[in-house]
Amino acid sequence: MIRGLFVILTLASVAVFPWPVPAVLALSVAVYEPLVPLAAGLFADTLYYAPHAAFIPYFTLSGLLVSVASYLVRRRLRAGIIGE
Amino acid sequence: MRRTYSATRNALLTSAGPTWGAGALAFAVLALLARLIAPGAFLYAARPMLAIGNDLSAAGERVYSAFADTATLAAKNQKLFEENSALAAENRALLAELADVRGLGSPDASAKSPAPLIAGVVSRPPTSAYDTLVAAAGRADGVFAGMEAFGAGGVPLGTVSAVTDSFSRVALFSSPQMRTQGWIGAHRIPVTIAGEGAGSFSASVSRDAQVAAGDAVYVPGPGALPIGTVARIDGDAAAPTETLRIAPAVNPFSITWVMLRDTGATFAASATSTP
Repeated sequence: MIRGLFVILTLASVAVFPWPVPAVLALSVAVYEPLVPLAAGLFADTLYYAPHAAFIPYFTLSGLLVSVASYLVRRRLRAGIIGE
Repeated sequence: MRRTYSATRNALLTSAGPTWGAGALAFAVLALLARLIAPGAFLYAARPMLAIGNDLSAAGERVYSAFADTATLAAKNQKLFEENSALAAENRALLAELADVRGLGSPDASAKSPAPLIAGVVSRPPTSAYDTLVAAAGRADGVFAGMEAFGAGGVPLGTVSAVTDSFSRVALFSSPQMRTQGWIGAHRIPVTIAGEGAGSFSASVSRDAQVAAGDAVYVPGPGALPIGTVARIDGDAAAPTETLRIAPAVNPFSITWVMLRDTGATFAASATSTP
């Protein structure tokens, strides 16, 4: 339940706090939920991305990178240690 | 031999059933689909959250300023008061002069120019990433992609890059990918002004240009419009060019309204109308 609370807090912080706050939260939650950085990045770009402001959706790509890194770390470690 | 990890288990999904992460991703994908399919409805739904973000950032700024040195604040306040009085007097003189000039010209000239639109700001930096604004005026109010946004005092802020029926997205000139042509100082040295995020700009000029900190930076609009001032000059003494750090004339973190106007000098052809 605590984990769910942090996931919701991360997504909510995208809409109400400057980007460093959700970035730190997403990095923290990525240890247990690898998909959350990607979700937070996608949500940030959905809310704020505007044509001409940026060539590429940086937040989605950054979230994807962190999610992939988290996935690889989890794959290398025993799944039973993290998140269970 | 004992395995050190489970090869059959998906490391993205931490348990057999749906996880919080998968739920979060599903929510984000649904939000993206909502923006693509019904951008206006999406912004209506997101508006309360974005308003909370604006309130929180304003409250944070107030708390932060409360920790500032009171003597410095008092000096700054006095300086601003004096500048404000001088500008108000100058403004009155200019308005009187403008009335005289209009009286000499054709009375139809001002009637033909379209009236600017005033729009409230739903979302702004620092909450809004990419240095973009969401303005509460859209196609139904007469906004179209390519219009220019101005702040208090007629300071140019950015251009409308996407429009829905009731909202519009403004890419500020300080957005990281924005490049704007302008000029610096009394000698009108032409420069390309690059957005640096958080309202700031940079520009590169030749060392021979003799630009000094405090010089005003202008962009074209109806006349020369000040966009900021040179705050700092960086660069190696041996390099032929130097980098100017430009502070904005209007703090994007406290913009509560914008004036939208068609100046005809923007990227209307390449701008999109949705989402």
